[in-house]
Amino acid sequence: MTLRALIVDDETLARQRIRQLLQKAADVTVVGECASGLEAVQAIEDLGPDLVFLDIQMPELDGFGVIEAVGADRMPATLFITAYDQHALRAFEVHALDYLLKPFDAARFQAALARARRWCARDAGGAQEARPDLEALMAGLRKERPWLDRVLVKQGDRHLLVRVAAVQWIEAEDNYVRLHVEGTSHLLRQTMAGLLERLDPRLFRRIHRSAIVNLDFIREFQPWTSGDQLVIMRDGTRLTLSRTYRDQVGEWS
Amino acid sequence: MSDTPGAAFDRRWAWYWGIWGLLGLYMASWDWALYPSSSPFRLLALNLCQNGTWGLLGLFLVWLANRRPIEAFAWRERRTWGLHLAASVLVAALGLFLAYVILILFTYWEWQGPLDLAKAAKGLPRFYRAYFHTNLLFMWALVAAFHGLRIYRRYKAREVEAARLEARFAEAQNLALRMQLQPHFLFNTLHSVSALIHADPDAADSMISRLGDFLRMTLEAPPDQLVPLRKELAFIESYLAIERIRFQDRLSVRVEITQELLEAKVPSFILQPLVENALKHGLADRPRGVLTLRAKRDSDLLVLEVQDDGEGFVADREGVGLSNVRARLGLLYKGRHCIDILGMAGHGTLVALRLPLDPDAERA
Repeated sequence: MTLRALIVDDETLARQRIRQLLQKAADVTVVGECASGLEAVQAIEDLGPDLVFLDIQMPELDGFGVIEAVGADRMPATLFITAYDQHALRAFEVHALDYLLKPFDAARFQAALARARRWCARDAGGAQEARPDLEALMAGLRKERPWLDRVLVKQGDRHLLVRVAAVQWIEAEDNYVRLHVEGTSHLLRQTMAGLLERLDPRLFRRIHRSAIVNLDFIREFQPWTSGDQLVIMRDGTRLTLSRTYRDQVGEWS
Repeated sequence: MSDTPGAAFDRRWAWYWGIWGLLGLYMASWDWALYPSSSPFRLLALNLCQNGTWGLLGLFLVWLANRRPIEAFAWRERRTWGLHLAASVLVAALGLFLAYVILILFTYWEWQGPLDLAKAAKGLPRFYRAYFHTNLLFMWALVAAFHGLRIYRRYKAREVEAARLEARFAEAQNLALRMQLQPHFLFNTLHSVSALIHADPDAADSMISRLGDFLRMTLEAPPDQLVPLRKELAFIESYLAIERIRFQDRLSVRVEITQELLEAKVPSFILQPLVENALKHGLADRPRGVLTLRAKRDSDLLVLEVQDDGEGFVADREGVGLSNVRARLGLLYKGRHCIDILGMAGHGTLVALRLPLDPDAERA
């Protein structure tokens, strides 16, 4: 079978290096190259590669950010590449993940590629080797870097990177949440509870079953009926602080 | 350091005898107030002789205090306290006896009469009643002064030691911060070389040579952390030479430096993380980018600027590079510096460091 591979690295020469090494592998075709995390997310969804060579250090959205955005369960087989990142390497060791350290020679690259082939063979029914558990890796990393600082949202068929600090408030919408940012809004496939867990509590608080607010964007509170409070945002939006969540108000000051 | 230990030693004794001398002068004037008919010179000579004797006896107390200093106001030190109390009573009593002898000798010398020892012995108890308590107080003051000086010296020594430790700690921390930045760049560059070897051997060749320059300068970094701006710029030049090969002609660099500032002292390797950021964020996803380095003077401040023409910095997260620069400047200048980051969406980012031009002059 032929493996369809995607190369992700912000450096031209680093991508070129992988291309060179893949020339000798007749069963691998490079379906795309990405110079940023954002491009990578788009390419993984559009092209559906079997294998991704993923550089970890990239500006804006890094390799782990790509996995987070795509979803660990929906990532293709992934070979991590890193120049020097003790933090990431520790995580790889803990979860027994394969990775390539820059610079690498042909022999090391081929060994890693051979392993990747075995992961992919399993998908084709060969059942040779279990893929590394990306979900466990991401859960481990989250413990060390708990708060999100950017989220990737989809607008039409484009991906946008939204800074979490710029999100004014978040609204529940069935199985989605809606992020209100600078006059527009974006849907994100996520639950309220799941998202709240990843948001910095110094910045975000739940005020209602169906609303989370960014404290930086609140203008004032007004008393409302039956113990509820009205939260007025800087742009004039009116939200309700329900009694259930009111106990937390004391902690805000 | 103009003081040799010998000079400090001499000065200490000058003080010791000087104070006893002044005390003699003081007591002579007191006596003169009581007996205005006496000759002031006679009173002065008498008191200087008496105080000189006490000064000699006081040396015993100093010697004792030096051998068995009182370390604390604690019960366990009771023996030392007792020792000094007994010694001071003894020295005061002996001193007073000798002072009386001197007084008698002076009287004898003045009146030229026969020395009436019986009469002199009769006067002794009255002399003791009048002067013993004052004299004992002098001796206590001497012991107290010795201990005060001793504590002050220790405190000074400890302060100097603390300052030295702090400086060494800051240096080590600084080195660690500096080293934190290198490995990433180093491994990425080696990786680029391994790509170039196959695609463009000449470029690989020149990249290895530039990397050699870069590493040499890293190793030659002075331990005192401050280098002339000229050196820092040479270092940045070797760094940029590598980046130029990596970005393959997408990068152009402008340098605007006032000549007179080339010798100004700056922390070594302070610009590299800023330049690295400018390249990362300024050139990412763009076919071409311009990097501008500026050094200018703003009254007694040196202003270093690194500017790119990229997307513009968004101030929500600082990378390792910038927080590293912040930490190093904080250690070196302790708040007498300033970092400004100006980002305009679509018009690039400007990072400006304002550093005191003469850090040593201000520290003094």
